[in-house]
Amino acid sequence: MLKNYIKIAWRNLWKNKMTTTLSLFGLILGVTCFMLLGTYILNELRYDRFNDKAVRIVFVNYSYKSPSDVEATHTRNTPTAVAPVAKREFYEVEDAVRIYRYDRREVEVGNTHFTEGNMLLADASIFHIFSFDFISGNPGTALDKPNTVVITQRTAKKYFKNQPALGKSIVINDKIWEVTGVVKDNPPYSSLQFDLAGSYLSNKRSEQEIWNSANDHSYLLLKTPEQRLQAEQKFNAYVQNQFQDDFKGGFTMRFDFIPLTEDHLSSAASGNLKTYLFILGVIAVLLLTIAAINFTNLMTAKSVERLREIGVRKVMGASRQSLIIQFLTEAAILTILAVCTGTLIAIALMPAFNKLTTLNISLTSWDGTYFVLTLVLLFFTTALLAGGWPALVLSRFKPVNALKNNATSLTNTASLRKFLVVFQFAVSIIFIIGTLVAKKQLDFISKADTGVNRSNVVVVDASSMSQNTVESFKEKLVTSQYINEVTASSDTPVDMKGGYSMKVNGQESGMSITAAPVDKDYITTLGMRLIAGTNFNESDKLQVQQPQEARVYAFMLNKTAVDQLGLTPEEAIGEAVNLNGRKGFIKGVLQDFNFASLHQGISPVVLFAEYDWTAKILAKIQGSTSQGLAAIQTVWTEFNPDSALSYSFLDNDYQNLYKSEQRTAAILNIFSAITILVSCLGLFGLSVFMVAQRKKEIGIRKVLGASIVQITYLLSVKFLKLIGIALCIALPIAWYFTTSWLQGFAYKIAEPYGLYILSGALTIGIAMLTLSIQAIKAAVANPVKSLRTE
Amino acid sequence: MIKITDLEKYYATEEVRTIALNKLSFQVQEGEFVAVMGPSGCGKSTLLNILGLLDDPDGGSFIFNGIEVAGFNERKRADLRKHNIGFVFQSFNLIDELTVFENVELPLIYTGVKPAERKKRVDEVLEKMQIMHRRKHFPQQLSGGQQQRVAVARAVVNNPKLILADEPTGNLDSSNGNEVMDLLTELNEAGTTIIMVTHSEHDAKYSHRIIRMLDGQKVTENILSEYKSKTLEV
Repeated sequence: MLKNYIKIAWRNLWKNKMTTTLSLFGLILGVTCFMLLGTYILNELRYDRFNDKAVRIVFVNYSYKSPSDVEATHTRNTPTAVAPVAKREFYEVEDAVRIYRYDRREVEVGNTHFTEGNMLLADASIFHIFSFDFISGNPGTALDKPNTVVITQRTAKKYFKNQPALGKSIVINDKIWEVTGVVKDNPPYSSLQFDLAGSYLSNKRSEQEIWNSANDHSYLLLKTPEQRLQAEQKFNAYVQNQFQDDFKGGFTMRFDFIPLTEDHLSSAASGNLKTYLFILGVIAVLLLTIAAINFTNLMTAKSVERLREIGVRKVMGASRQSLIIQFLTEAAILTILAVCTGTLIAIALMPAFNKLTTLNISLTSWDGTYFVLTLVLLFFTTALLAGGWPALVLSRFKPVNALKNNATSLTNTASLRKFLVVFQFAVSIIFIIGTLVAKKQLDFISKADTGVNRSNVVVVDASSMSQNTVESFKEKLVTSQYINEVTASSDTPVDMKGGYSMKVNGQESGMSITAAPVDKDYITTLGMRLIAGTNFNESDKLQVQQPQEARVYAFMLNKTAVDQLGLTPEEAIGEAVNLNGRKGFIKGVLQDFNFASLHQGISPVVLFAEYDWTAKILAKIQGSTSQGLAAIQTVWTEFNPDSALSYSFLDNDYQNLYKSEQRTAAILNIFSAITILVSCLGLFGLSVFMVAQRKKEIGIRKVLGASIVQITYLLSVKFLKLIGIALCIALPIAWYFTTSWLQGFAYKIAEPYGLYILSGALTIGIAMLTLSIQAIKAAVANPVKSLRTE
Repeated sequence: MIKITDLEKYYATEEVRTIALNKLSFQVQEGEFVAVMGPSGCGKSTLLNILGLLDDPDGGSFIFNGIEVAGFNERKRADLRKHNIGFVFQSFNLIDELTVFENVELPLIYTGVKPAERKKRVDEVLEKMQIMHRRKHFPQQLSGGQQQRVAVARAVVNNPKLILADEPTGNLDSSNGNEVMDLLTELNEAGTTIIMVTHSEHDAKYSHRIIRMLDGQKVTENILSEYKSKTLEV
């Protein structure tokens, strides 16, 4: 029986080559996109889940607010006390680990120098909580002594070639450390990444439980996942009890326990990842649905031609069920072809997809069993989605009507087809609008005046250099004819982090403020604008090179900070400032500038001249970029013969703030084009079919004097009406979604009405083009011929 | 075998109601060969559709093999049909996508006959209809006469008790037409009951009895040859 079904289905598909090709092509595109997006989404969703205890691990987020703050400050860094206190005081907490980023270390192995950008210090419990596979060493004791370090396989190979690493000594920052373990390289889907993990005991702070500065990431291992909220509540109650007086004075602090499995998706560092994954998931499913609709539409449209066959089968005793299976088999054959081909194409396209999205996904994201299961599920869903409706409708005919080719009972399939065409185009229009709006907003952001001149600024990582070296390096670099200006700071102006507390004019409580120590040339190199006071100068520099207690700092506030203090820029100049113990005076007020993503508005910021924390050197290139870079490289090698130059362009750093937006926009670009393509394939198929059906009518109309334009209009107007309806449905939906997306940006484009009109015109244009191919062909055909064939 | 009493069927559009069968009554006994004649639109085909359980009547009674079947649902009708009734149409109604063999095999598939048995029976009937050499051809590769022979083969492959033929020679030339009529006669002589709708007086003469219809009613009935049934009563 099944063999018979397959045979007949195959012959039918073969006979209707045009509809088969259109349906198949659409389905292949649908499956390819589904597999690519599915792999990407899966890759993000399985972040951190490889840890055996993943469901019991929570990440601690910290927020605090001092009385003068408008909003609380949220940070992923927690005080050193959090982990040990949680473990000691709460029975829900089985274990806890503090992790301190210990980046940019100079490592000496024998006589070879390495600069390591990815080192952390962690409590010994890290390997009890997280599942990193040990190749050698004992996970239980690896980090239980100071100056012990566990390295990854890749690092071990780099340091010791093929020699065993365990027990070897390496020098990190002039101290000897012992390698006590080698673990497999961290999987790319681990949010905890390190090349070297040193013992937290090597850190001076390790013995103290400090609450007033936040430098560590804290992870807790709960006894059961259900205890998360209870533990969080108890922990916050404990903190409130411990710091009663501060809380009474209006200071608040709060700790949130975020499940590890959600951390990657919801953390601010990932942007709106959760939303974007959802959008991409919807796109994947919709695209597949649109492709399945093509099959449904073409099949029901063609069904008139198959009525006699259905009738004969029924007369011969076919039950409704067997006819349903018959029609489903046709859908199934196409689907299986599409699933196989689409998956192979997806695999072949993965490198290109990775390039487009700057990701590194591969089929290894899939668990073997799930992969097969997904393909099977994909097959069944698509086959049912595509073949279900035609099978139900076609099998329902009374044999008498079917034999008489009485298609009156097919009118409901015609209305379904209309509905589905409207659906396809509504989705396409929404995608097109979404793509255009996203593109416009991202263009707006990348060209926005953020108050900082980012062009031609190279950011050199100088975290391994001593302060004296930085000074000589700068002096040497600025002599190059390709370098205009050089400055230094702890953070770049697109990503300032530090949370400080600032008291002005002897206030009781300070205001929370972002602050960054900078070099005296910072303002001029980055083209920031002073609106009051004067720039930093040499004497400010000399002031802060005195012993700490004798220093008088020069501070530069932004306009927002001054506004929040209730002062005008002019009034602010000369006011006394105490910033976390640094005393001095306001020297200047800067026009507001963005120092973080444009998702956020501008908040108070203070820059101050200080030379103890230089991590970045910023060099402005003049003339040729490549010669500028070459100059930097030459000077770098002169000062750091043993380590490689690491640099980035400030403008790229800025663009990277919108990585997940840009990635989603890039995907949206391509996939909305595919959506409209697949929709048009269906429309084309329907127009071919309709023209064939109305051949005689067209012939008669032409004989009676209808012009080509009139015939084309006659054949297109019905579909254009449907697309008009789709437009009416799509516009408000697209408006709703794009508006709520734009709401997430403090700086955004104005309501893009022009884009709506453009999208509508674009869709109607593409649809008209698709329809006119067939309509014009029919209109110019010789009417005698079409009448004769009838 | 068949007893219809006061059978009624209407076709209604929004404005007009057409009576296709108007209180029609007659009986057909097992082994009989009955021809139904009458002008176009007199209700012949409607009658055949109802007798073939392809359509249901709007009134009256239809007893088939002692069972009242008027009012059966589609599934029950299909079940009864596939085991008891074979059809021969004027336009053959072969499925273009299937070969001769596969077309004839179709009723056996739907009655759940095993593949080996199917092959045996299809080969037998194709042999009998002298169309064996064309078994791998598709319908459009055959002449009209050959196509109708395939259609007859398909109608009889399941050994139905009743064959309903709707103008079986209507699309054939006279020699092919005669061949088909001879085939039907042979089947009837072998015991199959046949009800045939026809316009052709020539074809009607092959039957035992001619029922003439007009406007959905029986007008005359001529007995051509004495038919002695073993079971006189239905």
